Amino acid sequence: MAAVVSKNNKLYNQLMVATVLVVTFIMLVPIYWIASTSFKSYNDSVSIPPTVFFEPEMTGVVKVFTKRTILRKDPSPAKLAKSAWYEKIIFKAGEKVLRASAFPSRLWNSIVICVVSTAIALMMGTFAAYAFSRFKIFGKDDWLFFILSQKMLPPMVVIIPIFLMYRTLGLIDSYSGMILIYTAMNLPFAVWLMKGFVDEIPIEYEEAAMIDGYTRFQAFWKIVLPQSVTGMAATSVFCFITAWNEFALALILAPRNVQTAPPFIPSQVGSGIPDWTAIAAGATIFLIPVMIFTFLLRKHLLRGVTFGAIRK
Amino acid sequence: MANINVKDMIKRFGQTEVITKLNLEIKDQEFVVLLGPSGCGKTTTLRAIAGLEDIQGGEITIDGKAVHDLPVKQRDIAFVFQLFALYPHLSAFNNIAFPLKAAGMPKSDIEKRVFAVAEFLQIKSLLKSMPSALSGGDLQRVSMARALVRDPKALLMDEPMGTLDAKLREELRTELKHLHIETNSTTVYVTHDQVEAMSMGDKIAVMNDGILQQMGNPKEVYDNPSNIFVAQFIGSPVMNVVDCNYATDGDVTHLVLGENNSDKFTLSKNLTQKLKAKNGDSKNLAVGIRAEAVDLKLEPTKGYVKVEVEVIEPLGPFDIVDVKVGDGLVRSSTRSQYVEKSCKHVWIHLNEEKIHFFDTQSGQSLNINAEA
Amino acid sequence: MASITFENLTKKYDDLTAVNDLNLSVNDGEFYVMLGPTGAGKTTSLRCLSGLDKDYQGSVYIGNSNVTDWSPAHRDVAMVFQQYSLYPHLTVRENLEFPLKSKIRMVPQDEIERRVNYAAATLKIVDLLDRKTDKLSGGEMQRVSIGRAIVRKPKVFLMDEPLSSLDAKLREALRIELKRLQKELGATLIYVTHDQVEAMSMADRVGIIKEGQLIQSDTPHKVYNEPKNTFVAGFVGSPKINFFDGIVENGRLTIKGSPHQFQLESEILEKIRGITGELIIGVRPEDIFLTHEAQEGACEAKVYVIEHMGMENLISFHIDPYHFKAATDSAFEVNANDKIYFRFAQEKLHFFDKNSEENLV
Repeated sequence: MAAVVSKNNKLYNQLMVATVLVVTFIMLVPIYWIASTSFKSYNDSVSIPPTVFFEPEMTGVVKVFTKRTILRKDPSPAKLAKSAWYEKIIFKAGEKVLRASAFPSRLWNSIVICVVSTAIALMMGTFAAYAFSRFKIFGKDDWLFFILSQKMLPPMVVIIPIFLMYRTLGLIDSYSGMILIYTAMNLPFAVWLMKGFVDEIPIEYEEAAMIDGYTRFQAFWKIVLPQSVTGMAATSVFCFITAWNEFALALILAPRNVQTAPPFIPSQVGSGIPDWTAIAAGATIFLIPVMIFTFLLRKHLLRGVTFGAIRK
Repeated sequence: MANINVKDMIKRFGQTEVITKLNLEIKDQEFVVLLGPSGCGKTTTLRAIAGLEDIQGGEITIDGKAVHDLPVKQRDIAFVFQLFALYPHLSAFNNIAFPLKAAGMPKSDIEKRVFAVAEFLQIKSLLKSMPSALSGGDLQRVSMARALVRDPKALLMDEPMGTLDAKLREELRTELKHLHIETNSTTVYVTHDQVEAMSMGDKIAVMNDGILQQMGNPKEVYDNPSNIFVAQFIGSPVMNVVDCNYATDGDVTHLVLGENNSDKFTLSKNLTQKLKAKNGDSKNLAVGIRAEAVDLKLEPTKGYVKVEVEVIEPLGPFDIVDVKVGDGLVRSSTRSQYVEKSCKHVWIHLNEEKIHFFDTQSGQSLNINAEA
Repeated sequence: MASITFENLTKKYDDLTAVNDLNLSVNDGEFYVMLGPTGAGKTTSLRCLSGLDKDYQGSVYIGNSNVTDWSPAHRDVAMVFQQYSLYPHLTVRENLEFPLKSKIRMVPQDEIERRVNYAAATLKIVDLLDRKTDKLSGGEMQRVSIGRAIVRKPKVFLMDEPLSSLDAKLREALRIELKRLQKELGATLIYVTHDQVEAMSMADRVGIIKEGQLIQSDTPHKVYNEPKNTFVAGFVGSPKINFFDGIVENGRLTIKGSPHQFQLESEILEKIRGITGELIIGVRPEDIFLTHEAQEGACEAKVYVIEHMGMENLISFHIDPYHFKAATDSAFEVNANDKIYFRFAQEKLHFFDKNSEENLV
């Protein structure tokens, strides 16, 4: 019970604000750290004590987009004059650019796989949730538990059987295989989350529509769907983030062409001493799409997570 | 028990002022009902008295001691959210003892006090029962015992019967009023139901939009409402309030209700003088009259106006007959089945002693009968 | 418009019988109210009639058609729910158009416009047409819901507690409007409520339902004055009727457990046709007369609580082992624990059988 008043209340409020600030700070430090590291020089990135103020440079960013080799001798002034801005940066770091890296294509793989799997999981989840919410289904609670139980096993436990199945079916390193596994991974979550939202939509809406002369599917399409936009937005964000950050399955099931960004970025550690600036730059860029996605849906998201907690 | 004073209280949520300069005087042992529509600020007021809300201006005193800076615990009041909200897994005894255990009182003292309050409320025989085995009235007594066991300075109740069905509420409100007579605990009771307010309150404070409209005993707010809002909020059927104008004709006053109406009600000449004195020549005048003060006859009668019957609503003990006056409806209550369905026209008259006039601009009553 | 008939309607949910062998005919153009406590089966009956609930036994007729196996869409009924039935993502106009745009109705656009405008004008919601429904007040919402029913020109209107979420004043106003509208349209209307005031004031006939069974179906006046059993007597009327056990013997009525006795008038004795012994007696609050002084034929009692209701005072008094509530003129003043004297309006007493609780008259 928030039960302190006036003078006490002010102190209480100030304490609360201070606590929130501290927690926020703690939460933001890693993000700041990784973003700032991507603009540090190699020496700044490994210095102890860590540098807080530094001169930003693009070396790390360029490195993650390129394949390089060690520079054996300094480039001639003529060659230096002809080379592009990013090549100069790499020269400075004592390396030579060979070709573009696979990073853009890995990012693209991530986007395709995550968007498509999220869309499918959301669609199937919404239908299933509607059915669970509205229809009398034999053993409904058991089914729901069974669905959720799929999330109880850590993916690593089943990864070998899945790998073997995938190999037999020819799904290794294919878009369809990755989309399938991510959809399966997110579906239980989507069903449960969407069921909560659909439950909150009064059944009277559909009944009124059915009396008005619409079929059940039309009622679902015209009434339930528009009203569950908020829930769908929240669900898709959660699904998207889960898929976007997934590492283990991607590492095993998509080793080459359809590799996603999460396994790619650490692979940049390479054989020598880990180049943290490149890894940090990759991680920072990797953050951007999911942030944009979440930002676009933030209005629904905020309503979505408080949905049901507060009655209108 | 204690008296509670609220002086010039202001409450804001962000920029919006939800309570404007509220003044309430609640005497020791009084049962005061805060009545108003949802969102009028009655619950906020109650919570402010309890200390669950802080206030932005004014003061709240309990027994003369300013409490608005004290935390809830130190105000020593009992708050009843829901009369029946007993812990289902605890016996009546443990339910009543609960607030004492929370205060860390020794066991023997707890027993003494629970038995004392149980004796007082005549529920000693129920102490071992579980709530599920108790009837509505008994549950209410146990709830009251739980509220009173700490010997609080006041009881605050926020729509405690809100979720119960009508018949049970009817029974319980009589019972609660009786309990109040027995315990004499200072009580502030919040409700939106005017029937509850009228039946239980020693005083009723009618609120709207965060402003106290009127405070008085049930008879006062019913017979002399201070404005149109109170007039129409209190009483069922709702008081007829119709725009009107008047003219003197010889030694009578002619009153015309609504627009597009040529029918004139004949009232005493005296009335013109009273209205002139109170309202000058203002055109913004409305007449307010309760259904039981609209007299209705089946035959032409001198001084009565012929009107069309629109709807008859039988309520059991009496009927409400809605008649067309001008463009609007006026409701009259009559003996059951006095006006038959086939009846097209009746004759009505307004009981001058029970007539109210309001300024339609301010909504305030002109109080023409107050001095008489 | 059409008449409605329920024939042996029974609806079970698992092992719960919600409606038990309901037989009821509602006439064309009648305002029929189903009244009963929560869970009595009134809403279920309505849902069977609308087709929203299936798998029931018995038959449902609308007009001359047996619609038992028809889908909700084809039964051509309009339903107004307690709340929620307006679509929050649509405007008022779109809500009103919605039922007309269904594929099975195929109403041409100009006809849709005509009907929407008519409904809006009738219900005084023209100004609201372009507003989103979540911006409306409760009263406006319910007007729009009723409008959505009107545009359809259905055979039957079904209303499930449409006023119960509104405040008292608005409820009173809409009550009259609804009754006028029903008369104007000549509509057959079945209205479900648990509020006896609504039922009494609007209905042409009231059907009182308890535990899935129709107990009494009569005009409001009859239901109030000639209740079939103690349940009806207790459910209809506010403040509630007083019940007590009484013993009729030698032309006298004794309140059981107390020394109080009344000489019964000869007409009353005739009315109860010589029934004697222990009965349940019902007496409405307005049929108890109170006086401050002792009077011939009146008994003494102690005032328990007095409630000032404005129009009347309700006075509860106690005679062991019963509490009674009497309604008096607002000028009648007493205090708690005062002595008063009471007697009954004998022609208004209700006599019920002790076991079956059926009205004996």
